[in-house]
Amino acid sequence: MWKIARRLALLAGVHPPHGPYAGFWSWKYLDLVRTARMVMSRRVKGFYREFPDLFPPGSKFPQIVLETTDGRTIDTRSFRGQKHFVLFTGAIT
Amino acid sequence: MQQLKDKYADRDVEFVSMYVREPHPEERGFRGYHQHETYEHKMAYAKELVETKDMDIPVVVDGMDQHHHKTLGNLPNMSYVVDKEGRVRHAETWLLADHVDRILAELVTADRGTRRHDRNPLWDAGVYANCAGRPQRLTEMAAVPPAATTRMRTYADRRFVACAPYSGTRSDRLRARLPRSRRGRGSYAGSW
Repeated sequence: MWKIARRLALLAGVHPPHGPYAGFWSWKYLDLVRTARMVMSRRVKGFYREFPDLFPPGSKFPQIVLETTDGRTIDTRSFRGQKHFVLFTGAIT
Repeated sequence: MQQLKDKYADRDVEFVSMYVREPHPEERGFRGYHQHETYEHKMAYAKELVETKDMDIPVVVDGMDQHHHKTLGNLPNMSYVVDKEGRVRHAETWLLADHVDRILAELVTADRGTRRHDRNPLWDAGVYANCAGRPQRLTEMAAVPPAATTRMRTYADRRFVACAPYSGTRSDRLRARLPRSRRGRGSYAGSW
């Protein structure tokens, strides 16, 4: 049933997070109306529509130089020739 | 992701988390968290995340202009896997650990043979056989015509190679040298 719900959501252009209840587990922590308006908005749907064309597999990853929480600076170009790296985004909410 | 970091700790893999804008500030489960007003505010939330989750992965904080976040896709929980050449190998709108694990396993496997203690001269020569589902001793590859090995240019080719005809065990080969009367029962089978 939750798989069907997830497929229907994807057909509507909504991208729920992965996880239990077809990804709708997170809605326990969220305001339903506000979140529904956000995920159904043209702006957010545009992000998902444009994402595959931004940096498709095989393309060069841009250089990112940012400061870490413990005061160091990480430059993604320093990994070239040395290490593979995984970059993922997130926040506390 | 912490488990993945521990799994690939001795491999050439680095994990970096980028702290971006708050996707759900002041919502039901996050009443005490507001959208960032200053960079120091954002950094404080990032440090709190590191302490709360006991993260070993370095967390870089994007600027208030969200330049890098917008460049990468402007999504709250996206993931990229980049190889040593700086090329994107995997990009996804949601961070899925099993997908990242699969891609990293491929990258790490491709690295094999480049490290000194992994080097196998026969592997370097592209000679590796798995004939009919049973591993064949690499010394037996001498029976394979050289032309066949030169065609093995990819990892997929190297996995399966035309096997030399099975010549039997050593005792079979010795028995074949004996006259038929001395070979034992069954040596005349199939000869009618």
